Amino acid sequence: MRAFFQRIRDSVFRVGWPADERKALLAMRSSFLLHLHAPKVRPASLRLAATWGLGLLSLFLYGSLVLTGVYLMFYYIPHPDAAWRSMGDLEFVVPYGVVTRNLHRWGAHAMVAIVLLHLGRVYLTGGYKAPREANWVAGVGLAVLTLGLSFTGYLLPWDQLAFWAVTVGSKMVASVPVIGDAAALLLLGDQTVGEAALLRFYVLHCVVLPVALTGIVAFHLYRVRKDGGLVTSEHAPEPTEGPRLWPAWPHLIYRELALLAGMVALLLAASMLFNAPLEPLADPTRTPNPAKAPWYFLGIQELAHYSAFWGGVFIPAAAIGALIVLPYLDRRTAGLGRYWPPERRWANSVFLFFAAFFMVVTVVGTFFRGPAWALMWWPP
Amino acid sequence: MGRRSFLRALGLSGAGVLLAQSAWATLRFARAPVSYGPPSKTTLGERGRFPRGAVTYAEAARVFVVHDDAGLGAMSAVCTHLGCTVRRDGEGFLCPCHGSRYNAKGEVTGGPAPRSLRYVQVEEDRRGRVVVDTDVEVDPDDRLKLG
Repeated sequence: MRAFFQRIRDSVFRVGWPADERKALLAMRSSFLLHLHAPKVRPASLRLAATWGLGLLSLFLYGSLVLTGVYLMFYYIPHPDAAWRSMGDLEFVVPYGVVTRNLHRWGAHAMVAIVLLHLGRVYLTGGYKAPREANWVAGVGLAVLTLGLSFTGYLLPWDQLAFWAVTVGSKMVASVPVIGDAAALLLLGDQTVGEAALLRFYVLHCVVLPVALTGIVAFHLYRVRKDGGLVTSEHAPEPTEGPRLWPAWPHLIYRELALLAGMVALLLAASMLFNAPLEPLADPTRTPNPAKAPWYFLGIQELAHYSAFWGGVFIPAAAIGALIVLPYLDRRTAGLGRYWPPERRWANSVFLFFAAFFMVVTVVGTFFRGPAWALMWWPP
Repeated sequence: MGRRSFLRALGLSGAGVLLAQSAWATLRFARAPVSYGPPSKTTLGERGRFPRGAVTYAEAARVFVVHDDAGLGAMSAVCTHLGCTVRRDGEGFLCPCHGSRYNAKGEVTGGPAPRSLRYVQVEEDRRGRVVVDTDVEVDPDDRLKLG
């Protein structure tokens, strides 16, 4: 009997528990999940400050969002007559409905923040340069998809905030010269945000964008390894004693598990302490005052306040375009793997300037804009 | 051109045509000539609802109905900046989203709005009820003369 279960276990885990280094290396090569990492890693890559674990955390948050999202789909009905009511059911009737929705909402906020920080980390350390150009472009695509998922998910509760944030967003699309109106019609399926738009956003949010994101994530992870792993500095001190490379099990895997445990604890705590907001049912005849998008779009909303097209569409699109062509223009390879190397002062200053600009408009939009988007000095 | 390169070109262009046609079909598919939204024409009711000299908000059509000496007019309450619904603010109107301001006639007096509020068509149906069509823009001075 024991041998029977042993056979089953061995058929799944070919190597067994990696108790010694030989078995650890075998496990890293033969296990489906573990083979995402190289069997051996440079000790310099293991320092927390080398990556802050941001890629891993993005991936984990994406997985948890898919999971909680599927849970929510069992109750959510994508129709204007029923959507808001099903949010109420999740909140007041369904056991653990509130905490599931909270996990989804706060996880989404965390994912946006961490994906953007990941992008910043890779930029500062020059991780976009050859041979990693294509993977950097894939990463920019993943960041855009993350924002797209968050934008489409924002409409689904069908409350006042959802309705007006998406009304404003789709008018920004429509403000693009020549193709704007057609693009907005394509997105909404109608002239205004209504039944057709809700269904479109639902399908985009639950099927189209997650499938696209999953595919690009697979490519992204594959290329991380194929392109030689983490970008590291040629100035990183070689270990004076001990091996030049360490086995990924346990040194890398245990560090990752510790990081994930921290993230799980944080996410659970946030979801048990704070409830995701739900405003009154969407009402096309009354706009709340002020009508604000989620924080990561408030920078764009602040810019749109000056000009719908230039601030709301042109500047964000130009920023994304610049990030995509960047690795094909900036090809010097000095100063890689460090956050503030002398060789990259200029490149990193430009990036930090734009990041600071984006943060300033976000903070202004979040805290210093009151009713009718008027400047005010203290949040209400 | 050899047999191999001919077949390769044939296969590639076949796949290309198929892809292009699929992309075109996807775009067409996403733009059905039907609207699930509210109709552009809304019946607002008897003209008595809109007293002379007053500006009345008609929620059903998101318009302000103006009744002055010349007759009935309908000014859209949809902000021309990004589509929020404006609200009354003193004599004029104010958009709560980005602070566009309009005077009593709907002309821009401040904020990011690119143009004045739209005036839309007002008609009477056979039973004498007021009907507005928010798809048909008219001159701000156009009025439905009341007999």
